[in-house]
Amino acid sequence: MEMKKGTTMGERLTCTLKGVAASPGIGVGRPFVLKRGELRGETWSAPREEVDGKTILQGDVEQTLEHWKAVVGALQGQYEELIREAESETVRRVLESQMMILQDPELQASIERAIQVEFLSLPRAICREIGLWADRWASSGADWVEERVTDLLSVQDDLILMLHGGQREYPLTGQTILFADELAPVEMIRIARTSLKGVVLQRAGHTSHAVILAKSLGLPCVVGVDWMGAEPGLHDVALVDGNFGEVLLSPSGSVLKERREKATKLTGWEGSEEQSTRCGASFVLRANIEYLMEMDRMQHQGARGVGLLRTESMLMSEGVWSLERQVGFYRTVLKKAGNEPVTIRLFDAGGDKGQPDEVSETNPFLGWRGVRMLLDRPDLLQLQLEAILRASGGEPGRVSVMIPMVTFLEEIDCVRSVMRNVMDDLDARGVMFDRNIPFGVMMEVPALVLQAKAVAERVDFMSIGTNDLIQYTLAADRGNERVASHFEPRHPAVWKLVGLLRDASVQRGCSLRVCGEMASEPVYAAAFLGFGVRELSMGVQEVPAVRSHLTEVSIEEAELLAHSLVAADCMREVHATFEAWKKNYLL
Amino acid sequence: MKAGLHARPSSMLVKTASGFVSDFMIELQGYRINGKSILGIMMLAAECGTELQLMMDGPDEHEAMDAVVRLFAANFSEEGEAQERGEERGDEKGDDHGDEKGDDHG
Repeated sequence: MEMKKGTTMGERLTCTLKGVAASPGIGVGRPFVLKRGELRGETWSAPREEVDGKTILQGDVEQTLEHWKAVVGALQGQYEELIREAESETVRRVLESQMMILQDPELQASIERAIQVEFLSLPRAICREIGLWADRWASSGADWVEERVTDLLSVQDDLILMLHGGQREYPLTGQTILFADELAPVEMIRIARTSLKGVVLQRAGHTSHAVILAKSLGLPCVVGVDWMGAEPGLHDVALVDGNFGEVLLSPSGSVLKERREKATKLTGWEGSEEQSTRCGASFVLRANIEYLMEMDRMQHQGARGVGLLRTESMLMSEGVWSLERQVGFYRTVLKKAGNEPVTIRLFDAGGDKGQPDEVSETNPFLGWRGVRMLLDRPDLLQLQLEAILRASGGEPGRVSVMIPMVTFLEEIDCVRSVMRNVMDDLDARGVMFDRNIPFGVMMEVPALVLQAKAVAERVDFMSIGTNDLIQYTLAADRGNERVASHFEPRHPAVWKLVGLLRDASVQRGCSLRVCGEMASEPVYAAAFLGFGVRELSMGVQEVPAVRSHLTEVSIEEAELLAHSLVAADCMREVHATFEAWKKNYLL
Repeated sequence: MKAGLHARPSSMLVKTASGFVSDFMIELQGYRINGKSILGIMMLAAECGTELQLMMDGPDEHEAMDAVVRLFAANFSEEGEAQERGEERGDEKGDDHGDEKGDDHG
């Protein structure tokens, strides 16, 4: 969560939540937080033991079976009605797949068996049997199956609701922005028929029905949003920006207007192939990607390849992903990236990104994160390197590996030696992989930047992670609102560090890239061009604006800009430099 | 890389098989599931290139097997498929469907 400056509206502070854009458009309405899991307990894999009593008497078996049939029949009727009113082919198809689950012969048989043989009460039979199938789906090892677990559980919820005699009532009035941890398709359709203006989900995969439905219904949707602590329900207005993957709580009138204008500009953008400056120097803009669905818009926005593939989500949820699942994910990313390269960053857990183990640190950003964790957990490192190497086999040259949070040169050597061992092992087993897989580091710790020349001798590329480099250089926590003005990307010291990287990159012939947030600000991107960077990676949605600016600058001008920035000693000079630049380009 | 027996093809398979009286079983690496059960088919999470054994048993087994094999042979593309592609490209279906082999053991 990120608190933006002290803009107030009514009593509430404006608050910006970051997520992943899942369905485009802008939606404004009153926030409504939908609480789920009330019916089935906290987790679906362990349905509460105490669902309405445990067992029934033998004499009640017949009656319970009849009750079961009646409940199924009633829910079928409800689904049929929803299908009749289906707004689109997609909606109809999603509902039909719910119906198919409800009518599944194996599910019917197993629930009847649980009643007849084990004398389970109806709610308990329903929860246990659907729970078992949910477990099987969740451990199938395929994303597209796991993402359907929500559908299964929504049938369970609907059945239990039906047992208690009816539909869930949604206290929605007027235009609404719905917040939910995850959303069952049927629920989404029901709510969409009220006056839904946008959807914010904590979880959801790229093929999850909620996302497919949101697109089909033209509802702006942002997923992967953590609103803990922000209490959306206490705000009067929320804005969902499905283009930029952001949710604003209590935005000011001017911000609302600005967002809407930006959205209008975005529609109709046709990504042109051209990626060169006014003077003809070519540059490449790539995408920072965490979830597959973010890749859907890459082509449209003109992003070429993936400059930063985040992999931490493989560590978080239900334990670490298996080798097969990791390989499958990387291959899908490669496929979706067309013929362009993909740079995979090794697990960068820690800091604000959680940990594979339950570790509590007083200062996580200075703690056990990135390569520090990886070298302490060789099992994770080997697993990931093997998966990456296996994925690299089919198309040599397309996959690169990048190490996060390096402080010591030795850490680079250690990871390389682990990678050699994995390569030897794969060789022994006759597995194909890219022997010359490009190997690079994130430049985000000032100590490493000060040794840039030695780094450049060891790796194929250096990629600047601007957020961390800034916060470590300026000793300002980027998440701490009180020191927000100290987190100053334009600080002269930052440009001096970039200058060191340029020198090392030129002298040692090592490619210099940027994959941090600064790359997404057109003016900074122009400055990076001046520092010799030709590859910038950013959020997909930022690409058009950056490209549009870079195509109008010349390298000579950008180099002059870089020169002034390195020469600047105080903020005033930096400001003046950028102001002059903006004026010149009418920004 | 082609998509395997994903959500959409899976439900088409169930729909087709359910139109017949015969029992329909699918076997993959020792797992045998009811081919009329979407829950079972999804659990197999069959990726493309996977060899599946299809078994039909019942009075209309030949017709049923023909219908199912036709589905595989056509890569699960039916009327309405073109329309779907326009509507939600890149979602659950991918551009191609599986190339599983149906071994007739009816």
